[in-house]
Amino acid sequence: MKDLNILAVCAHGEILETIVRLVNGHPGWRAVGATDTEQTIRMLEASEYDIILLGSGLDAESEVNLAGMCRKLRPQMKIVYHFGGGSGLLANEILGALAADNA
Amino acid sequence: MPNTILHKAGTRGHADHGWLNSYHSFSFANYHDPARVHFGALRVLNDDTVAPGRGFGKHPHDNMEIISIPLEGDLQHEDSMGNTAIIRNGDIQAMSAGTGIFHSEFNKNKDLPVKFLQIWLFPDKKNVAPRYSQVTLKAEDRHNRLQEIVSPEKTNGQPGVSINQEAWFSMGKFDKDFTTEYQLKKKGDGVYAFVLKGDIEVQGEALNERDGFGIWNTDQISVRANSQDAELLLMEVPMTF
Repeated sequence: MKDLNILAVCAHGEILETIVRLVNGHPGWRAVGATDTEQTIRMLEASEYDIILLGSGLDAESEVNLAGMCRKLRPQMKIVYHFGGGSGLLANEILGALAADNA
Repeated sequence: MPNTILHKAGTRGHADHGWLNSYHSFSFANYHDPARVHFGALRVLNDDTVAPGRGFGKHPHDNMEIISIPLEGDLQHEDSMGNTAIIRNGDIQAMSAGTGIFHSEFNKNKDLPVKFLQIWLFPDKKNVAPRYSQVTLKAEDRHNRLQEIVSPEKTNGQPGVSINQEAWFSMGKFDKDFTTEYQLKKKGDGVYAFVLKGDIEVQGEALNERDGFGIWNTDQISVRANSQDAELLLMEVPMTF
């Protein structure tokens, strides 16, 4: 079964590391991280992802603009707004996004 | 006509890790129930018991308003903002994670468990500067009355802690047959009632210890204690945010 490819975006480097580690610890999930909008767009242009996790540190306008770019570059990719900084919410947010697709 | 949702104590998610025994009213960690993800801005209500000397090592949070309410024992908190504190029954702790913080929570005692509620709300503004606050409230101020323990930042000046969300928490400890009414502060809000101890009737619904009951589309909520020293936590939150 194909791994779920996840791009995690968070301006806080240490928290991003935690998010990526937690996702990679889940069987079948693979995550890489980006810390700013420019890096995110470069990564989206280079590779396909199933899910993009938008975490902390992006201002509201940047977040809206980035979400718009995501829909343009990778229309099939799910956008998940991550709260909690790699907390107990992370798996549920990803599972919730997958379930919405199957609904 | 009010809308309601009942979460009996036994229907909560449960994880027993040995050092941590945790009950989740809403989806959390490995507990995933699409029908139980949040109640308005209330996202997490965890009922934790941590073994003597054990706890949560350094871990991050961001963009959540985190309220801790110790029920028994002593909880030692340390965070990346330099705060070090012990919170115990009677204390309320609030942490606005904002742009991101790291913290640890340990049971200070080597011979007793620590029991506490950890409650997370979505904030009304993302990426605020992280903040920590802690207060000790007088028990007599919640005997046969609802004591406000959490309020929004904008109504600072209340005795409890303040958070970055238009939410109000109240707690009370009641004699048997005591009755009261809770008036909601804002139209459109809902209230999630959580029974800490005993038997309490909320808006006509008979609740037992650790039952949760959400009510919305109402302006006030009736409360009646059906047992002596019954304890209740009411959490008023925006239903849309």
